Amino acid sequence: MSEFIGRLTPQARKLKGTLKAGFAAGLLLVCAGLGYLVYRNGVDGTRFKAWNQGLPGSLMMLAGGLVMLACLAVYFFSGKLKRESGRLLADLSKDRYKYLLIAPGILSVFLFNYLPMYGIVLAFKDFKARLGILASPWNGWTNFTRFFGKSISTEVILNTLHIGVVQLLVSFPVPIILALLMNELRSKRFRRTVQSVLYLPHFVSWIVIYSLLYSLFSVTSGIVNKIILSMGGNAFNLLSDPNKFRPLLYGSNVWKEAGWGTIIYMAAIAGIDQEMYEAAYLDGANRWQQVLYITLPSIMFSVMTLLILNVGSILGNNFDQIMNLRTAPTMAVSNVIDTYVYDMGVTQGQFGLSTAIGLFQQVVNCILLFTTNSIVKRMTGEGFF
Amino acid sequence: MSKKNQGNRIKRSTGEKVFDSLNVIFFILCGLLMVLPFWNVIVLSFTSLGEFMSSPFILFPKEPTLQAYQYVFATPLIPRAYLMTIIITVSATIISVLVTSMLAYGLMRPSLHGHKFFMIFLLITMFFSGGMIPRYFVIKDTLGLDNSLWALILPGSVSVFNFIIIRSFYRQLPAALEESARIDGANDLTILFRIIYPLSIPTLATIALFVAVSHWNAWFNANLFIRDAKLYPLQLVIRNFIYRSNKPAEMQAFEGLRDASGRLISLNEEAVKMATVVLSVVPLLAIYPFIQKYFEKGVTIGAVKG
Repeated sequence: MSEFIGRLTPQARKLKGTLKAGFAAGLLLVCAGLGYLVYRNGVDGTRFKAWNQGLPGSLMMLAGGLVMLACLAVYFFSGKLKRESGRLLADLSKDRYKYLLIAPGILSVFLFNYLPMYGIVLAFKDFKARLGILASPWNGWTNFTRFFGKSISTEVILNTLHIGVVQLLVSFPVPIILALLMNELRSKRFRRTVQSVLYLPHFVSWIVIYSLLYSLFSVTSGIVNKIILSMGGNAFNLLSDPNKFRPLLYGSNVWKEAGWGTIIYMAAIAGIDQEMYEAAYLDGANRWQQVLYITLPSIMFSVMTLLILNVGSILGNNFDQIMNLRTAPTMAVSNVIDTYVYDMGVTQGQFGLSTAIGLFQQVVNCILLFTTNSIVKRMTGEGFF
Repeated sequence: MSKKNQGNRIKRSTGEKVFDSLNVIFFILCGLLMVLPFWNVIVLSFTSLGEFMSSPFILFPKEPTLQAYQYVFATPLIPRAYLMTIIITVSATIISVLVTSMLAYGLMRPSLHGHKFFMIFLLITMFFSGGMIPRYFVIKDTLGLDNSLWALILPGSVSVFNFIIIRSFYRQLPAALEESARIDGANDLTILFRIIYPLSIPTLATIALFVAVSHWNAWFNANLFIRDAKLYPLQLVIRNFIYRSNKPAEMQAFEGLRDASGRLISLNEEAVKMATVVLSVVPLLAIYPFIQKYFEKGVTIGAVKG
């Protein structure tokens, strides 16, 4: 019935299409006018000296707004579209509180996620602080060629890949093994206690983790080194030895996150039908075989999902960790894309260059994410999206 | 899991018994590996300078002293940073949970006009962002939040990941609840605040926990946007304290604690550092046992629905 009411005559459908296109064109005009104003006047709005300098932009916005209004007016008051426009108005009015409820969230995402995206133009600009982002001159691919021209770019990229890949290989299987072992614990109470204790480090900041490491391994006052020294050994320099920096990253990451990583697998295991185990037992499967043929296949979906997500962020998911574990002697081996962006941008003020590097990293990350997803989809038939 | 074995009263083979005991030992060792570093920090914070210098290994301090804590509370630096962290964490958590849960309710049903547009609008941010430097400029200049606590509270108040978790939870609730309330004349605001919220307390508590922890542990935004040291949150103060391994200016200016006869007490500086670290972890340890059952549930919802 409602489908019948909603059906439009061919002319009405054509009119609706025209109106949609007109509305979009008006919106585009408004955006263009706004862009012109911001471009000419600067983000802070202080560069205009006379009122008529902003006239072209204002006129564009005005014209765009009028076109949009006209399209809306035709849509709502034309006889051909009467039924449909009536329904739209009724729906909008029915859902008015819903729009009210989503407004703050949408606004927040727009301000903090979308506005920064326009700043990506910095990657193609020679940034001058006194001109602002939009008025700074374009310089094409110079920022990219400058980064890739330096010998340090290879070093940084290889180091990022090295750390990312090894960190994934080391820290990805641990939670799976831990969860399978945890599941074999016979006392439920003991298992609960183990879970609580293993989850704990996840909630602690990397700054606190560094403090823990410092209190254990500081060359002068760390407890481990004090014990080694009192037994007549040589101090063990874990925190500022470039050769031990990568193992330190991998080890501390496993220590902090492996326990927490089990939580999703434990949830997946808890959802397995117990009758499968009983049937397998009656068929003579021992516990090892039950793990291999029931538990492991049952958590495979979670494993694949997390694998895709982890590969997708292989180039930059340990910024906080590295920022807090690196020390002056280990700077060279700790240089990854993220920290390099920080050092170049925030510390040295080379904003164009560091935005370009950040953009390069994001593009690579996206490609990785979608590639893994499609490979996994082809192999197992289960993709993440 | 062990239910099946107990239920059937199956005799374990010798191999299984060996495996089970080794497994228990393994997890006891894991537990110790997690707990001992924390224990070490707690012990150090109560250790006097003399004991710290003389004995290499302290499991229990022989003469525990509160000097480090007295010192930490006597200088204005740490209590103020603590207050800042509490202000930031509490307000950011409230804002984030409220905004995200309202967003999830509004976009719960696809019948809303523009539903698809808004969903794509949100999901894009999971894969692409402006990056560190553009974000820095937007927050600092365009939005004018330079050197303001708002720069630490507002960004990231909508996490799309949390939005998906909350939305999937709402969608699991029976639709009849909403429909019957609507027949009784309730509008969306009433439905959300009187029916949906009371039912989703465990999920919202989980999200609140994650948001609160991430704000409690955050230091990077403060490092970028806050120039006034009086507004520094706790983590940034600890970071400056531990890494530069010299005392912040404000602590140096403070002359120190005196004993009953007016002499300066020689402080154990390591103990002062560790006391600060302990103070930053205590709130978490205090609430942790009460919320554990919630976050296991919350994470599961996210895992099932992705």
